[in-house]
Amino acid sequence: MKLHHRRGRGSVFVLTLAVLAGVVAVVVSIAATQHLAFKAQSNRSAARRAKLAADSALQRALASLAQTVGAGQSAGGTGATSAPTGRTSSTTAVTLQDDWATLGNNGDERFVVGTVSYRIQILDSSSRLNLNTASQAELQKLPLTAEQIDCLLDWREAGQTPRSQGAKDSYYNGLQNPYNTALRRLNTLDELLLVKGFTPADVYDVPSNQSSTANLPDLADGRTPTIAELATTYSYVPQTQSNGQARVNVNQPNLTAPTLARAGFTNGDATLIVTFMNAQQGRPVGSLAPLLALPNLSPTAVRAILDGLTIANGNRAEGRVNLNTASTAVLETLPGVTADVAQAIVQRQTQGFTKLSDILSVPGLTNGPVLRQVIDSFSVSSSTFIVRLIGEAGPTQVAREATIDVQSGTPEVLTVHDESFPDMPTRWGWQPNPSQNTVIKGAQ
Amino acid sequence: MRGNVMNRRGVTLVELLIALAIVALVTATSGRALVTSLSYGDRMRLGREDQSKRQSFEDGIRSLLSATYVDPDATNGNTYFIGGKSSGTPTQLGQTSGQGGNGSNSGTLTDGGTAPDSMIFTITGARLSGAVLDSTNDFETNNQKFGPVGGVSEIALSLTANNDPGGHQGLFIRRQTPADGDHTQGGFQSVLSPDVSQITFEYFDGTNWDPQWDTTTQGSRRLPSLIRVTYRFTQDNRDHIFMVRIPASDATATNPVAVNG
Repeated sequence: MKLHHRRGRGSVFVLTLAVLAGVVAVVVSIAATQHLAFKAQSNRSAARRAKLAADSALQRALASLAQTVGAGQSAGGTGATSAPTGRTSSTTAVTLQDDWATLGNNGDERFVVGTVSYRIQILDSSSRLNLNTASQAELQKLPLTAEQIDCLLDWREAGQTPRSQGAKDSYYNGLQNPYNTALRRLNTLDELLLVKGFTPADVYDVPSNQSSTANLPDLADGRTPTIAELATTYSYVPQTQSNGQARVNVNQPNLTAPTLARAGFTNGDATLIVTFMNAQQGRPVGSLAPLLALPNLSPTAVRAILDGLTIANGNRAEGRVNLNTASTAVLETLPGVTADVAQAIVQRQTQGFTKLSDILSVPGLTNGPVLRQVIDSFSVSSSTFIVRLIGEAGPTQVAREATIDVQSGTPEVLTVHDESFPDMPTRWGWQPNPSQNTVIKGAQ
Repeated sequence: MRGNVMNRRGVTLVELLIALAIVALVTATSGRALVTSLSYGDRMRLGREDQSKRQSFEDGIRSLLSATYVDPDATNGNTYFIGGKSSGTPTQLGQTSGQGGNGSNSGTLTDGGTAPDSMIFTITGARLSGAVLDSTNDFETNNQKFGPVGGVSEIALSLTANNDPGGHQGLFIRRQTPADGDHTQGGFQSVLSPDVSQITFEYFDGTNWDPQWDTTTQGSRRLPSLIRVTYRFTQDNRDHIFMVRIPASDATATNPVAVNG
């Protein structure tokens, strides 16, 4: 009898437990759903905050460029700047010692703003080879196949007759997903993926196929450069003298000695140049090289040719490489530049080239055949920049790249896009974790 | 013996009734609480779904618009930014009802059928999918499998589809890579959001809101600094508004864009 009662009490206990377990299960499932929803919401908000952090990083980069580059290149500016703080270009030269170049310590500095943070690296677009102006000889120095080079040249040049390994509409129109050849300059680097022979691996990954003539040195940080890091599609340099005044175009009609005096020529040297240009009978010179080769030029005149003359109208030139910012890999793509010369140029970068004639002090580049071969490829300035950004909110990261154009002293965004790869810091050669934290505003 | 008697004693009717009443009360209360919390959870879920649907729609439009690109080189006819109405001349929100004006947004989407509801523009840097990036195929196989990628793409947003056989509704997106200079057609068309029943795009030129924008005719290739999107979902009778800043625009209050509208 007693035993029976005990059993009865036990079953009530079991029943109670079962009911309790049911209730707990319901509560847990509701809590889990809520937790998941909360997580989703907080992830979305982290992504938004990371994007906002990237936005503010871009504004920070623009401000830095406005203060350093813009101030030196403002319209009609004499080069004197009135920026309140920091080192600004005292000339139109754009060097790696400028504030824009040191901002963010190449991505190694994290700027903390409350609960979000960002990292910045600004690069000079003119430190790269411009695919829109690069000659066949220059492209051949890049890790590209002969087919890729032919196709790239066919893509950007007018006309419908393809090169031997190239491709025009007759090829592109026959693709499974057809389109037309651009027949004009590339707008972005990823436009390469539309050109026959180019795959994402060719553009974004370290070239595995080194069978081409290219055997370029590694970047300063030891990484093998990819096409995406060696090349650009948008790079301009201002056509100004170091005092900010416009260069004198030797191809202008009725060139006179007084005009040349504005570029720093003495009367005798100016007459030599005017005589040479008159002998051209209206045919424009395509390079400054023939001027450098004139006999009886004074050393001052050689400097004046480099610093004060140009061969085309317009206040800027496309596709020049900035001596102050280029890597040895990019310098070596230029015909005539040997590994030694490239090395010597890069060593001089810590000091900076303030004017183009400073190149004459680089071993191997005195006024001679090598200099004449490369002189039209170089500059010491730039007005186009690439900004790499990372916006972070907690573990969420947004990687972005923007192209900035500094025109009339004002930096403007030309393109901005989110990067497709998840591992951009590594691809950019950044430290996984920055060594320096700069708190702009503490967390509240 | 005494214990035995006690043990055998049953429960009285009063005790049973009290026990029943307590059980009934507890069951009713907890049942009600359960039902309430379940329906609350359900409403929360619907609200969240609605919100996340709107958020992903807005984020989609945002990321498209912020990649807007018009080549500064005027000889490039392959890039443009055209906003307006798919047919006819658009008027700004709030102006059809004879009130409001530039800068104010007193109108709603139901004001009239003349709201600017379509936009065709070119973008760069469209994100490449992981499949494309990881692919080890050659150029032609990539083209066959993924279509053309890279460069400048043309994006058209509209409530009316090109050559729609019918049966579709919502906001349509037409995407063409590479942009070919013909902004009326080409590429692939799909439904960006089936829930959108009405939408309006307005453009800020630095000082005013404009109902249309056309870089192919207005003499300058400059972009609006802000775009205001007002939209309404089918199942919802409220206007939702969000704004997108165009990073590539140089329009400011001191340097506004002249819009011939």
